[in-house]
Amino acid sequence: MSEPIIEAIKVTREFSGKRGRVKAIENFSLKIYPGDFIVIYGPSGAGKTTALNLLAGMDRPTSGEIILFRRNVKDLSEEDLAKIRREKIGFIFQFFNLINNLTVLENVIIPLLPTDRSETDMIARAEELLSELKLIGKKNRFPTELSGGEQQRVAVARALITDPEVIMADEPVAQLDEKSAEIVISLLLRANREGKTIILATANQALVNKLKQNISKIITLERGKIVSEETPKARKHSKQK
Amino acid sequence: MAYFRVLKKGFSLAIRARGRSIIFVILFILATTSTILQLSRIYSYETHDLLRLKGVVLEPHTPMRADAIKEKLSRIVNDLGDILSGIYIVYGLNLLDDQLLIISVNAYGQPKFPENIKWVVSEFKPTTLIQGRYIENPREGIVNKGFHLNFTAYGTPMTVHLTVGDSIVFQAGYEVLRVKIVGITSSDISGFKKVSGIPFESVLFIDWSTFKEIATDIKNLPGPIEESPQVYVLRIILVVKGSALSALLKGDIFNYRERVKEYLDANIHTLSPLSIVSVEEIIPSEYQSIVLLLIVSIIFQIIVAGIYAILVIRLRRKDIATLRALGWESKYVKVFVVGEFLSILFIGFILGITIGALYDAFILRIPFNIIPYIIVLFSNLLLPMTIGIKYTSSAALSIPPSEAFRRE
Repeated sequence: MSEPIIEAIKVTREFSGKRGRVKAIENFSLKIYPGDFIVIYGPSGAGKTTALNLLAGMDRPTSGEIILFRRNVKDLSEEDLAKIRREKIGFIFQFFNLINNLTVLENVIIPLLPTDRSETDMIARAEELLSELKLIGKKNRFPTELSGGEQQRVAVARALITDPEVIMADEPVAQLDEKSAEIVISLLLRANREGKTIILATANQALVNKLKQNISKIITLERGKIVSEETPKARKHSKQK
Repeated sequence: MAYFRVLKKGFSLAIRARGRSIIFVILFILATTSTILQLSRIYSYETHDLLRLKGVVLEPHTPMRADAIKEKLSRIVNDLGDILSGIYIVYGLNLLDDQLLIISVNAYGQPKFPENIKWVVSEFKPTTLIQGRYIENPREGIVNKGFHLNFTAYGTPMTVHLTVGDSIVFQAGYEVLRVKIVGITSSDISGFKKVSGIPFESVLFIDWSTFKEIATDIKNLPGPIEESPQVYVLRIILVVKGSALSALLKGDIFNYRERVKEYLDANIHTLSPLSIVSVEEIIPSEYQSIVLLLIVSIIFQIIVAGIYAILVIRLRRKDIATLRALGWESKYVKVFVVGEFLSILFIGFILGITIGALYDAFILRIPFNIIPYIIVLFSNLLLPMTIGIKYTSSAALSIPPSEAFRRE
């Protein structure tokens, strides 16, 4: 029986605002197993991004616990969390978050830069990924010279270069045209088929419907609270629970 | 290795952010060039322009022998000692039947700044060398343009012209002293002729140790040479105390210079035949404006560095958050932003210092002095670097990785 790789236990995250303390996430619990495809769905302001931040160890809960790869976040330093993110989690952002003054190739290898891996290895792996994503011809271009779809594919390559166990994607297709969105989603599905755990946050109901047959769990958030949980595609571990 | 790679990436980011980088490189160049130029000018007043800033020069209007100045000098030291940093005396000794005057400078008593002697030497002339270099070692000399010696050999009158690389050998019995000529000056020697009353045509400038050797070993004068009736006093230079900063804050140098002049004017009869010679002086406002410009240049450099550091953080905010989200540890994030900041500061500093050095050497023609470069290294590189590194590294770490998810 497999254990969850990420677990949120009754997590609440409060922020101080103009109107006092605001709960961005309240009593949020979730278990994520290897190979899961989790969708966190909800309208803007529902707390999806806060949830992703917490699940990635980029933020700490006000109450409750986050267990990341069997280690409680509250026992980990920022440096420990950074190391976990670098080694085990890949990120895809809504606005791609590519560094405009770096080339496509440099952007892809950036997560590996502060590691002991040789530059030759990094470049070889990045070129392999760029070839798979049909971007090898643009490896020396800068992000501003690419279309939105191409930029997000570069971001996917960057997320995959560390060979992470988990990929977290925050509205990955919100800025893309239909064709580009299709490509990015198919890349995520392929990564999931290859064993990677995907956590996707979106406000796009159509996208959720389209993905439904591939999703292990859909968490719907409203005003920071889980209002529904669906498990369209049950995984083995789910049965074992 | 990883550090180096990250630092290199920071450097290349700065280089690629062309417009912004060019503007800041230009600003750093301007500030550094201005700093080095003001520092060089200030230090030139402490060295080869020393007399223009701090000197008061006395010359005898009739020939004066060294034995006649002892009492006058002790009175000056007694009355002005608290505001003088040194007294320097230019001595002359005639040789070869009044054909040649050897000239040297020595400090009276124990000078507070013995290193000033060389600048006094160069200031009382030869200031302009037309060939060769200044005296750097004992037994080296500088001659005047047109230097020649007449003598008769085997009943035939002959003239010998000497130039750089030649040597003059002084011999008396078994004593032999060779002085190598290292430079030729274009100086007018008529002033020395008038002061010494000797109709020489040739002058040899030498250091004080060589002068004393010639006087005692070749000319067989009894010591001390500084008080010998055979030695002429050609000039007396009084150098007042004061530093660049004190000149700006209180104007000490200029007050002291005026006090010395007033004293000399009031005691002109007791000091006779000495009288004040006017030299081209630095006027206080000119000097103070240089010091002020220096301070402004340094502050400007620090402000530009501060603005650039803030800009790097503001413009890279999203990138920094993304790198932290992607799992970069704090130390690498710091190196990355510091790399971008430092590269532009370095480029601006190196170009600025190079332009300043070239301008000093070829336009202002100020002799090279290492001290301004050491100061500018601290004021325009290490100080802004420390401030910039401290700010960028702490500001970078205050950006949470969660900002990577934030909307533009």
